Amino acid sequence: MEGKRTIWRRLAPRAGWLCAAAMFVGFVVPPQAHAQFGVDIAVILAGLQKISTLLTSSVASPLKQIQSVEQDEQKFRQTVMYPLQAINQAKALSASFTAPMRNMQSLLNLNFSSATLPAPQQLEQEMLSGNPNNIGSFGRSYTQVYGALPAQTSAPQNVRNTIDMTDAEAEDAMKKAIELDALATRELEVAQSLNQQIQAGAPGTASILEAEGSAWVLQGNAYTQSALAELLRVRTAELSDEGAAMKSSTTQAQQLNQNLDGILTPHE
Amino acid sequence: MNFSVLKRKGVLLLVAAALALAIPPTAKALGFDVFSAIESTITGEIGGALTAMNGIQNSLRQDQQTLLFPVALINQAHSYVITIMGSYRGWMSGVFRLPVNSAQLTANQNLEHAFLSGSSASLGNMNALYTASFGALPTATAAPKAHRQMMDMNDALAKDALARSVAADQATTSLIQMANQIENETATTAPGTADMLSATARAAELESLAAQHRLLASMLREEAANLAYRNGLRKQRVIEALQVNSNLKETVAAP
Repeated sequence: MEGKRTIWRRLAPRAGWLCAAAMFVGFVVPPQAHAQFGVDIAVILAGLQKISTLLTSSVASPLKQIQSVEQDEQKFRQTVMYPLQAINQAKALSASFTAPMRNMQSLLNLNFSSATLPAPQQLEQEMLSGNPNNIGSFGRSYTQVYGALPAQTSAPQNVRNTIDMTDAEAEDAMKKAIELDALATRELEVAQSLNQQIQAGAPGTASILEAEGSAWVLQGNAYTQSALAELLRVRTAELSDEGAAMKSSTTQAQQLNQNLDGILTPHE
Repeated sequence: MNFSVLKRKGVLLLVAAALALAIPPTAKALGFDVFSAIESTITGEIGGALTAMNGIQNSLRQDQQTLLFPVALINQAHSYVITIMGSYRGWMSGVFRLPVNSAQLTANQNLEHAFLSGSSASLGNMNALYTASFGALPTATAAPKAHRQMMDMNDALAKDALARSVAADQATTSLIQMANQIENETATTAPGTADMLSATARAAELESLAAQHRLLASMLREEAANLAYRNGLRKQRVIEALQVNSNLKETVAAP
């Protein structure tokens, strides 16, 4: 027992130094160079190897498949959906319409004036002008050619009514014709402008231009409808005019009968 | 507990602490944790997402190529257009070009030929041809001014309408050519470029609508002039009746 104590007494101070040395090594001496975080390089290599394998199988492989799908899709788009040749052909077709459209415009803007007397010449010029600003003064030119409404003392009221209404319908239709010509001029401009836009556009923007064209076509159909309504009114006025003439003849015949009765009836 | 026991225990504690510090954390355990986390992320989150993306892309491709734009159906549509062209174009064109001229006398045949020509070049002698068929405006001494004016106006509008009809026929020929060209292109175009052709057709349609408006305007003028002419005659009758009344009064009043 005493021997043990003796040994301990001898060893204790040395053990203290040993511990201090061990602690010094633990604190001061850096860990082994091949393991920055204390990991063995072999373990790191094994881990990296496994990550590489996983990246190949779990990431690269699906990415390759995605790439293949994308390539396939790209090819489909470029050869089936939007082949460059078809795009260029569509643009070329649109471009080839430029000249015929211009010719059509000048053809449709053609005015064949042929009146020879001054008043009809003036009226014809206003009628074919396609200038809506002429509508305001149109009545004067109309009266110069077709005459004015008879004065109150010059004709019976029913005759004056018929003349006024018929003139109104005729003038309305002529003014509507000026409007239509003006609208048609703008439509021709827009048609050409649309055609130019198509040449400068892309397949993806064509549907927008088509929608714009459809809106104009719809608007144009509305103008057609309006013109047909005006045409209907003019024809109705012709019908009414004939009816009025017949009624007037009936009234005149009755008046004549009464007058004849008055003459033929013996006076007492 | 005496000092020596405490000292002994302290020394043992120090030795244990020193060993703990001197020997680094078990590398294997640490490495295992980090790598397994990375592996799990690669196989689970990244790999799973990529597999899902791949599935979606595949499905989209399949939809596009088999449901939306199957090449077989695209070819079928092209064939349909070609069949329609072959079946109808020639017949339609033949019917459209059937001659409709019917005049028997030379002067009228000439005028008819001019207005059915479908060429604005024939408008140059329209005045002379029209006069040959419908007569010239009476001279100033041959008819009242009001009548001459209305006749002049009627003739002018009739000639303008004929000229416009010729121009419209020429425009019609042009529009039909454009329609045929669009149809030709439709027979080979791709689904993605068909909209471009539709838009071009829309522009041409608008042009056609403008031509229709010009024709309607002309028709309105003619109908209106016809109405105005009849009304003008009525006004003339009123004036003539007034004149007759005035003449009668003068005759009766005369001594």
